[in-house]
This record gives sequence, C-alpha cells and structure tokens, in this order.
Amino acid sequence: MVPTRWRKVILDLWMHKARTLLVIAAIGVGVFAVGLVAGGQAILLRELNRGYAATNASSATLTTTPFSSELVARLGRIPGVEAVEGRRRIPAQVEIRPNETRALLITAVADFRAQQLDKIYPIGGAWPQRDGLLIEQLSLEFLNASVGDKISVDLGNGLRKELTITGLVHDANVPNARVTNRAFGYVTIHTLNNLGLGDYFTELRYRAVEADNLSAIYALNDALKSQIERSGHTVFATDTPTPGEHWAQEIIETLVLLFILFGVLIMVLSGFLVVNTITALMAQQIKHIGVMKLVGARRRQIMGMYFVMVAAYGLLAVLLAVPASMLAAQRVVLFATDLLNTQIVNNSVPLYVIGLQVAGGLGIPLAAALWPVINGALITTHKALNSIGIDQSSVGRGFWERLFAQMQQMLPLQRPLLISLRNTIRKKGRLALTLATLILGTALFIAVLSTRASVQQTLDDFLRYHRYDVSVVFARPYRTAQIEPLAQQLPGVVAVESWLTGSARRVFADASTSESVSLVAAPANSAFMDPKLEAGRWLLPTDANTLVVNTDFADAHPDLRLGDEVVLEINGRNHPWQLVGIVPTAAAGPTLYVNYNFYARLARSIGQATTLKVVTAQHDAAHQAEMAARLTGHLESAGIRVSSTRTTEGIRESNQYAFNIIIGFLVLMAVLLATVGSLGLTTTMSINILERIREIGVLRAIGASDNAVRVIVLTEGMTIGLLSWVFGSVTAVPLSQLLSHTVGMALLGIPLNYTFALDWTFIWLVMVILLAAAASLGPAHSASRLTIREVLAYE
Amino acid sequence: MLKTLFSRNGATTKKGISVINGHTPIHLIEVRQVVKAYHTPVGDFIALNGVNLHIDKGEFVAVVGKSGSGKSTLINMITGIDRPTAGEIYVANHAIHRLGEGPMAEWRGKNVGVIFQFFQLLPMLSCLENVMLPMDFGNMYTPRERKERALHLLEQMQMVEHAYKLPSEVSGGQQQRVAIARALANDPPILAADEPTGNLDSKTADAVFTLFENLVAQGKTILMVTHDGELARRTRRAITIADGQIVDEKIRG
Ligand SMILES: Nc1ncnc2c1ncn2[C@@H]1O[C@H](COP(=O)(O)OP(=O)(O)OP(=O)(O)O)[C@@H](O)[C@H]1O
Ligand SMILES: [Mg+2]
Repeated sequence: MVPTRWRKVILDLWMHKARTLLVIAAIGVGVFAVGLVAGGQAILLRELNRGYAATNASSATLTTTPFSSELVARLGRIPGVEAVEGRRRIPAQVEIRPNETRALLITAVADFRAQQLDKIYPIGGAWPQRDGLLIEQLSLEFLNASVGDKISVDLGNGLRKELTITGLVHDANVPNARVTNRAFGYVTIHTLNNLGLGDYFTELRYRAVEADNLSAIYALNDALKSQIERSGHTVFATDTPTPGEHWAQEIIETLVLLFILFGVLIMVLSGFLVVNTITALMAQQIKHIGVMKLVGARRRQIMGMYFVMVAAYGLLAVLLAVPASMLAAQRVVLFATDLLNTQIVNNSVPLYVIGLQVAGGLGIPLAAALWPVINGALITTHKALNSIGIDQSSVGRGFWERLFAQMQQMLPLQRPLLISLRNTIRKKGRLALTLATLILGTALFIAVLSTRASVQQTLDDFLRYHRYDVSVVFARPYRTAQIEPLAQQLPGVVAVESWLTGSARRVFADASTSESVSLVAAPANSAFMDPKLEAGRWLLPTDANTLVVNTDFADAHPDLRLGDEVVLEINGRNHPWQLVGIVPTAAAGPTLYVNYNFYARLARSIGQATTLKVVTAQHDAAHQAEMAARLTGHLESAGIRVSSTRTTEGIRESNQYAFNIIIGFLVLMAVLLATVGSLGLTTTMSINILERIREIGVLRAIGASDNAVRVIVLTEGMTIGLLSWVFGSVTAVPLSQLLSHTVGMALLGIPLNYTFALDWTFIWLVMVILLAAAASLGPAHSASRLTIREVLAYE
Repeated sequence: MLKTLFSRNGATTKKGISVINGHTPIHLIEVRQVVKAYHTPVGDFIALNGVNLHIDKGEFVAVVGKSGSGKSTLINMITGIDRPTAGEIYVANHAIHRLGEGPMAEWRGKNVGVIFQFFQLLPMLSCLENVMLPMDFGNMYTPRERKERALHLLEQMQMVEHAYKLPSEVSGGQQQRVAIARALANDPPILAADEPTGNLDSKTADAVFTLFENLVAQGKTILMVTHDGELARRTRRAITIADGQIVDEKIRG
C-alpha cells in the first residue's frame, strides 16, 4: 500500500492533469531543444569527420600537361610525400531529355581498388565488375537516370559516347549535384583509353606526411612542380586547400554556431519557464504544507514530498523529450547530409547528450524548486495556514501600486479593467520572468525569420548579375556579328549580348602570381548586369583598364584599396589595371569585371564572344530550360559549337538549395522558440487564474457576470502578450541584424541584404493574442463552471 | 484487540526533554507570562498581554471572548502553530516555546490534535486518507493498522460510510467530523479546537460537542474556542479573554 503522503503526491500529479502537462511541457521543451541541438551537432560533426577522414584528403592538386603512371611512381618517392595519385577530370554534358543537357564532371582514376587519396567508396560495398560509369549517389537524380542505364555523354570537341551506369559511389568531397548544378561521375583510365581518349593523367594529387603543415605543403608543391617540369611537362595550376578542412567547413561552422547559440538560448528560456512554473506550483501548495505541518509533518518529509513531485515532473518530461529529440536530431542531420553529402554510418546520439538532458531535465526543475520548497518547509504553520486563496501578500505600496493609483485617477478606466491590470502586476517576480521569456522568445523568433527573409533577399539580389534568362557558352570564341543575328532569328529571343569570359592571375610586386580567377568582360553599359556596389563604382563606357572585383577577390587580397594599380597576367602577358569598385560575391568565387572593348583588344578577341547572354520572352524555369535547348539546337545546326548552357532560374534554384539547410534550421529554431513563448504565456496565464479561482468565485458571488470575469482575465492575458510583443519586436531589430550578418559572413563572406520580417512580426502578434485568449479563457471558463460553493471550498 | 490497536508504538517521549532548565511542569499545559505582539505597518499590536494558564489532564476548557480578543492567538500558542513573543509554554512536558519548526510539527503530530472552523482537509485525499495522513507523517502504527484505525475513528464519528469520498463530496458537519477523526489519529492526549462548530448548524454543533464530551470521558484534554455561550456553559471550565488577557474564569462542578 502506498503511504498516504505519497498518495497525495500521486493525486496532485494526476488530478491536476492540465497543470501537470504544462509543467512537463515547460521542462520537456528545454530537454528537447538540448537533445536536438547537442545531439544533432554531435552526430553531424562525428559523421562528417569520419567521412572526411575516410577520404584521405590530398594536400594539393597540380594540374599539368598529360603524364603517365610512370611519373606518378617517381613522384611518390620524393621525401615528405606520403601518397600520390594521378587523375584526370573531363567536363562533359549528358542529354537527360531531348534537347536538354546537364553538366557532368567525370573523374578518371587509375584503379578504384587501389585509390590512395580523395577516395570514393562504392555504395553497397563492392566495386562493379563491369567497366562503365559510376555516378555519385547525389548526382543520379540530377541526371534523371538510374543504374544500368546507357547514357549519351558529350565528352567535348563533338565526341559523343554511350556509357553504361554500372553503379553508385559516395564521394565525400563533392556536394549534392543540385548545389553545384553539375553531376559527378567516375571511370577508370582504362575505360577512357577504350573510348579512345588515351590513358594519361592531367592531375597530380598528393598528400604530405606533415599533412597539417601548410609551409611543408608549399615546399613540396614547389619540389613536385620542378620535378614534373624537369620531366618535360608544364604545371598549369596548383590548388592547395586549407589542410584538414572539409569543403563545407564554413557551412558546418555556421551551423554549429547557430546550434550552440539557439540551444543555449532556448535552454535559458525554458529554464525561466520551469522556474516560473515550479514557483507558482509551490505557491499553490503552501496551504497544503500548513495542513500537513498541522498534523505532524516534519520538514524533511515535506521537502521529500515536493522534491519527489518535482523530480516526477522532470522524469516524465525526460522520458518524453529524450526519445523525441533523438528522432528530431536524426532527421535534422539527414536534412543536412543531403546537402553536405555525408554518409551517416552511425546515427546514435552520444550518451553524454542524453546525460546532459537527464541532468538538465531533473536538475533545473529541482534547482528551481530548491528555494520554494525549502521556503515552504520553513514557513511557520500559522503563516502557511493563513495563506488563503485570496492572496494579500503583495498588495503593498510599492512603485507599481502608486503608479497604478495615479493611472486610476488619470484614466477613466472601468472597474473590471482595473482589477485585471492590478492582477497583472501583482506577482512581480513571475511577471518579470514571463515577460523576459516572452520578450526574448519574440525577439529571437522575429530575428530568425528576418534572417530567413534576408537570405531570400540576397538570393534575389543575385539576379542583379543575371538580368538575362539563358547563358550560352561556346566551345571556342565566335564572331559576334555571326552569332548575335543567328540567335535573334529564333522566336522567343528578346535580346542578346556577347560577353567574353576568361581567367587572369594577379601579379605581385615580387613577380609571383596568385591563383587563377575568373574574369568577365561585358559590354560597357551592359543592361544584363546591375550589381549592387559594396564600395567604389561600377564600370563606365569611358573606362579602359578599369577593374571591378567581387568581395571574394577583395578578401583574398586585403592589401588592395580602391584606386590601387593591380597588375594582371592575362594570356601570359602582364598589364596594369586600376581598381575602382567592389561588388558582392554572387556565390561564384573570386571574379574580376572589366569592360569588353578594352579586354577584347588585350586578349586579341576583338569582335568575338565566348558567351552569349539571352533574354527570352518568358522568365520561368521551364521556359528558360526550353529556350536553352532550342538555342543550342539552333546554333549547332548553324555549325556553332556550344559547350554548355545555363539558365538563370537554374542557378538561382541551386543557390537556394544550398541555403535551404540554414533556412530549414532557422525555421526549426523559430518553431521551438514560438513553442517556448507560447508555453510561457499559457502556463503563466493558467497559473495566474488557477490561483485566483477563489477570487473569481468571490467576484461572481458579489454579482460579477461571467462576461465581466472573462473581460478581467482576457485583459490580463492581452496586457502581458502585448507588452512582450512590443518590447520583443523592438529587441528583434538589432538582434536580427546581428544574426543575418553572422549567417551572411559565414556562408557568403558578405553580410546578407538585411530585411526585417515585418509579416512574421504581425503574424506573431496575432498568435500572441490568440494564445493569450486561449490560455486565460480556458481556466476562466472552468472556473465559471464551478458553483460558488465549490469555488469557495477550492483548496 | 482494541488495546493493541490503540497502543502507540512510536510515541515514547524522548528522554531529557521532560525536565527543562530546572522547571518541572506540574500541569499538562502551562502558559506562563505569554506575550504575543503582531508587527503591523502602524506599529506593534499586542494580541496577548501576559497570559497565565494551567490546564490539567482530562479537563474540558472552553475559551470565550469577543471577536478580536485573542482567543485564536492563545490556542495557536498552545498548539505551537504560532510562537509567543515572550513567556513560556509547557505542553505535555515539552517547552514548546523553544522547539524549532520541525521538531514542533513532529511533536504536535503526536501530542495535539488540532481542529479548525474551516476544516482544513486536503482536497485530493479521501476522508479516510485524510485521517491516515498524521499516522503516516508520525510513522505511527504499522501501515495495515493505520487503515484499520482510521476506519475505526471514522466509525466513531459516524463517517465510515463516507470514508472513500473526497472532502468536497460531504457536508460541512461531516467534514468537521473527519477533521476530528484526523485530530485523533495519533491518539494525542490533547485536542485543541478553534471554533469547531462555528460553521455548523446548532444541531450538528451539538453532535460535535457531544463527541468532545465522550472524548473527555475517555481521558482526553480538550481546549475549545467558541462563540456559542450555550456550549461554553456545558463545559466544566470556561475562561474569558478580553484585550489579550484572561479576565474571567468559571468552574462549574
Ligand atoms: N497576523 C496578524 N497581524 C496583525 N494582527 C493580528 C494578526 N492576527 C491577529 N491579529 C490581531 O490580534 C487580535 C487577536 O486576534 P485573534 O485572531 O486571536 O482574535 P480572536 O479572539 O480569535 O477573534 P475571532 O473570535 O474573531 O476569531 C485581533 O485584534 C487581530 O486583529
Ligand atoms: Mg479566532
């Protein structure tokens, strides 16, 4: 048989189901957030690191003229080189539907089974027996193909081959094809040779023994380069990634930062909520404590009862929230891995996360209960017994009360309204905590959604570089006088512009050069590009050797100031340029912008174009894709070799896709914050009213109509809701700027184009009003159903 | 059977407390020079002003006086619900003015049964469980005996058929009888009742009073605050309080 005092504890939990649920929800939301945030982060980082380590990342890649495996073996003997591997990459086009092609980057490997560096792994564990094309798992859908399909691959220079997809691989070093707008495929050199493409390599990848030592890697780069050149080859480029960094390092770091930031904030908020709830709970129990002391309860027994009660709330919350958060964390991780292309070998949440949740779920409520419970156990029986339903404890003469008396005189307020306002400020501590929770919750909610809006805005601003629909890239330069009229013949083409694209290197004072960066030469006053300026000015028609760079380039060259002279090596010749402006990066890496006329002369390409930008009659994705295909067909039938086409919507969508994960995460956080805020409002309102059921009874006994009671509680709820909304929205302004700045800097290296989510600010206002109404009318309704006798006998 | 049922297996008085600082109480209840001042925003209010009172085992004492005279204050001093500002109170060999809040509750649970005008039953527990609660807290009797004993007490109070109802499901007079049964749960020698009939009609009040008379006949000592002059006259001893002082005392043979 359960001892009577434990019966009381059980019945308290059971009979006040609404209260029990609220307390459990208050604790649970925090436990859930911790599990989601800490668990998700732990799984993601663990699996990313495992996947990255399993690739055995190369220290650098040297791009050269064709070389044989014999050279590879020789280079492997250079001291300090741990492993070398020759590779070859071929950009190709795959026809996925008639007249619609997609880009495919084919990497050729000497032998899949003997890979040393940047390893790829077969999905399913074994390499296929048959020769053929292997496709990266997240590229298959992009190619609209399936394993076993025979696809037609355009390997450039008009060379078209049929290749069979023999299997899927995982390459942790490439993202989802939808992000890159390009699929990834893998073949052996042997297969290439059978296709008549030769069995040579053009890329040398190696890993240094001191893989973390960048200067050692640079030294080896030089050593390898001179060895390669001594064997009669040319090294075109050396690409040295930051050692130990996953390609998505910045996305990951941003995610982790956001994970931690929001995890901590939600924990603090739900901590407030728990403190509030438990304190109110204990206040309700004071009279019971008095009765129990009256019949001989010892202090230890009372403390025991309430600590067990609070621990029971915590335990129930933990039991519900831990499994739920695990599932949620695993889902969030899956969502992220779809972008980051990580294989989740083990999706278990580490034990320490569960330990943290259990400790928080039990510890915070118990800590919150510590003072009220000890206080309750210490209070004299006399005081406890006399703390009856109508609470007089804080009807004092403080600041608020005086302000209130003033207000009463100045404003012609109605009596019920006065009662509600007085109620609102009666429990100052609780009001303060509730307001703090709600204000912070509101502010973060709006900040998160403003960041989302800013991301959206930034993606839209990207279109300022793409004031056209289709971009046609030619296999070699063509005369503009030939291609422009040709393109314009096609129905649906509204306007065209010929651009030159190329590459350049910056030449430093010591004659060393930077890595190669892309260069865009559009006609002066191009209507197809209207970038926002970060600094300086855009190109003018009168400009000659004038240069505008994007922020990616400016960040890589922090020594450059506006007005500086920059020497660029173009087509092997150096020429000075004057830097006049900086524009935001549109997710395209370091880029230089120059006037077509001057560049064409310098590059000896006067009257020629490598790219044709086309404005079409309609601008939706489907129409753009169709026009791209038709343009290709039309131009090729006239003998023009088109190497690829791109549609603006397609690029925008793939950029969007990369941001989806961050946006998805932000929305998830917004939902959690809204939940905490709603719970805060609901618990406070319900507790406030439950505490005053007796007072409501008295009001009704002296003739207040149900409606008058409703007005009183509703006003109270609205006051709290509106106060928090006003202060929360104001706080959201600096907070959202900070957050968009952080997200922008981390993902794009530029601040996002800040937009305040005014729509969500008002949606939240409506939510707050509805919640306040529901939270206060619910208990008030049950109170009004009690008879006056019941109400007066209430606890 | 009754004898074992009513023997107290946990109530042996702790040694060393019965003789305190050289003062050996002779009476069951001794109130010596007790002063109680309440601190209010407008200054101290003296609710009890040097009260002396002795009550012996088996007495049935009524406390009467005008509203606000200090009756509740006095009885709260004796039950240890509140503490005196000055003076000494000895109840059942304990200097209760020196007991801390914890030991006080423990002591009260075993030595004084308290009954109020508003019955102060715990709303979520059944009548039976309310009666069992003091035994649980005081760790008195074995768990099985507790239920038997509670049922027996409710039977004495003619409440056994309502044992499994919640307090809100029985009438005021019935709640008061449950409260009396609860006060008797640990078989305390003393019962202190503050206007126990204040909320009851005269017939029910009479029945409660009769219960008290029976308990006195069984050897209990009862201290009862009442506004009912009729009832006060039926006790052997009645003390009158005015302005925090005992101003009159009547003993009827
Ligand atoms: N907590 C308190 N603070 C200040 N004054 C108090 C307090 N409790 C009681 N008093 C005052 O002490 C005096 C005695 O109160 P007490 O409750 O003992 O009166 P009573 O004789 O029991 O009256 P009634 O018959 O109305 O119950 C009263 O004047 C009362 O106003
Ligand atoms: Mg009184």
